[in-house]
Amino acid sequence: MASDAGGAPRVDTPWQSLHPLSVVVNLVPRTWAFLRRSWLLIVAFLYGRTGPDAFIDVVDMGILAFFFLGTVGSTVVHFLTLRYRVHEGKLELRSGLLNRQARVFRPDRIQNMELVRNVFHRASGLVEVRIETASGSEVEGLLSALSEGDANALIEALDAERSHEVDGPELTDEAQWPVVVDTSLSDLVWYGVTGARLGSMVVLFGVLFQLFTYDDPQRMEQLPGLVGFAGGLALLVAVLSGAWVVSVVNAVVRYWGYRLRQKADGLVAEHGLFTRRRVELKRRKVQVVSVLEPAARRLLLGVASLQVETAAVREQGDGTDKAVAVVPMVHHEQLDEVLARVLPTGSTRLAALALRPPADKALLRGLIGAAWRSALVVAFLLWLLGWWGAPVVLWVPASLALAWLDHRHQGWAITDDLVVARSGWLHRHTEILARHKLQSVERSQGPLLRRYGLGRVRVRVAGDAIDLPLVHWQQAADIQEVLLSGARQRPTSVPLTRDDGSPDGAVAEE
Amino acid sequence: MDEWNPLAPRARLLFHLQALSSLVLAWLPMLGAVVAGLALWWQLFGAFVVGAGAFFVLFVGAVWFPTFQYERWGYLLRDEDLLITSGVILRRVSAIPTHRIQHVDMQQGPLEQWLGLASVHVHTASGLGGRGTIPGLWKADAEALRDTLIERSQEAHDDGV
Repeated sequence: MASDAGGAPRVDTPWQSLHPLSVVVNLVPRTWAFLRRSWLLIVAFLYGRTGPDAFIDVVDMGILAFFFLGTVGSTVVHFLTLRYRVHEGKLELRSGLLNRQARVFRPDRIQNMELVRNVFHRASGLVEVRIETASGSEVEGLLSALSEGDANALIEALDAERSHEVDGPELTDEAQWPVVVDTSLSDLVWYGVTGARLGSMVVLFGVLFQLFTYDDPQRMEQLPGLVGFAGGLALLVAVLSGAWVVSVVNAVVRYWGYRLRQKADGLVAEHGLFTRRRVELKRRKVQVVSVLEPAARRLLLGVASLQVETAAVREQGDGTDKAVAVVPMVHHEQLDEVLARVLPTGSTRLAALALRPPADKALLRGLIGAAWRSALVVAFLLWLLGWWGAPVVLWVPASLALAWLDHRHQGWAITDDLVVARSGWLHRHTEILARHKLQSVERSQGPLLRRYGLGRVRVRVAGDAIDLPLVHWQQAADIQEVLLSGARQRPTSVPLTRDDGSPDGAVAEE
Repeated sequence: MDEWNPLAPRARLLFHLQALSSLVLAWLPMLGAVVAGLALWWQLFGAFVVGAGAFFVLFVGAVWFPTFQYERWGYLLRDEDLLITSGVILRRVSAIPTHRIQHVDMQQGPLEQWLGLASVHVHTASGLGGRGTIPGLWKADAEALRDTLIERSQEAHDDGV
């Protein structure tokens, strides 16, 4: 017991530890992570031997065992040393045996909190709590295994400290939280089908071919004779359907039971089949919202996907996404409503927004870029495949057509509250940020852009940046001034002029 | 637009010295290794010609480039924001609202200390990296700029995020 300067008694909050089962719960994923990191060493150990040398085997085994024991040791030390508490309105964490670390989090600086339950957590009734601030590129507060009661108590304590930020009444009963988006299984299947990544399947088949010819390089030359035309066609169908199957399975596993609900001024997203995630974020902490609309999803299904980012900068990997929350399927008629609940500025009418086009000369630059890039790819494939690769020459006009479509559907807008930038036709990508979140504005011009009198405008917020389509250099300066004036005293709307005096037009819509 | 504030005149010398030191300490050893490799695997005379040509280009670049580099640097502190312009090949104008500044660093390397110069690094939550840097200021000017920026950043009533 201590007392402060005023003489009032100050209670020393006891430290709390992880659940004892955390050692087991953590060991399995950490072992898996160890195997993923050391797969090259393991492959070398299993297949790299050139002779029956027992000494080399012992050395290899020793190296692997050393690193694995390090993994086990760090898991045990993590459990034994990690302590946390909410004390005097702040979250305190301490950990480490040799290198001791103490961290203090101010609740108002927490960007988002995430609850993760993988299969082992679920089997043991535990939960992993991830707490992220705007600093660094990793999860700053990681409590890897707490009982559900302890996790809820911690979140409630932090929420209580952040309660002064809440605009409306906080609904403590989860059943009362309104559902913003609810995604069905059929939605997820379509999400997977329209999100298939052919590139990854091509790489997979490339690896299979490499293995096929590993011990006999001549076998590749015999392949056309072995599979024939029908076999080649079947292989192509296998690639396409394989890509779809992988994509659908991935979508279902990742977003199973997806539900986005509103909790006062915050949002709660829950999803996942094996690893169940629950992300809680405050709307006022949202920095960038991206609307992703691949052509198939946009034109066939009339849906979009949303990515919501806060200032908590993340590096992909270790089970985290760059975006804090992803909304896999939002129907176009529902998009404005969902955006209004996600964006810190409130309502927006994206569909009705007249986007300004990029500068005309940006088309020429885009076409030249597409021409030389596709020509390089075609030249390489022709060199690799000979005359069999002749059809790939068609990639040059296709690439030019895509560049034209991309230019025609690019656009940008600066409203009183928002900055909007759209790019791409095949993969339409619209980024939206609130003007009052702006951290800096940068305009730049390389030698090629200088030749065309063009410039690039990059608007930075905490944790991310968006690029507007290419505009005239003078117009880039105008945009910079308008955005700075918005940062000073929002909202202001200053007319933007084009340096060539031509009227601004809206971007073509389907 | 108001006139850009130039860097201290001695910054030109700083840029030349930095370019020459990187030429001697980094580029020359690399070039020597490439020339030695070429001499071993190709021919001595050809390697010498390639090496001499590359050295001439690098030397001319080290002598000329810093002059343009110096002329392209500038900054402008306005009521509510700081503008920084730089770049010879890639020209860039960065604008940072002062109420977004998280902290400001002032740095002096050995050459800057010798020349009485300093650089100011402005940090925001967006992680500007080198884009919030103004090198080659007189030390007194750098201190004054740093103090002004810190003072203005404290006028913000939020966390700057």
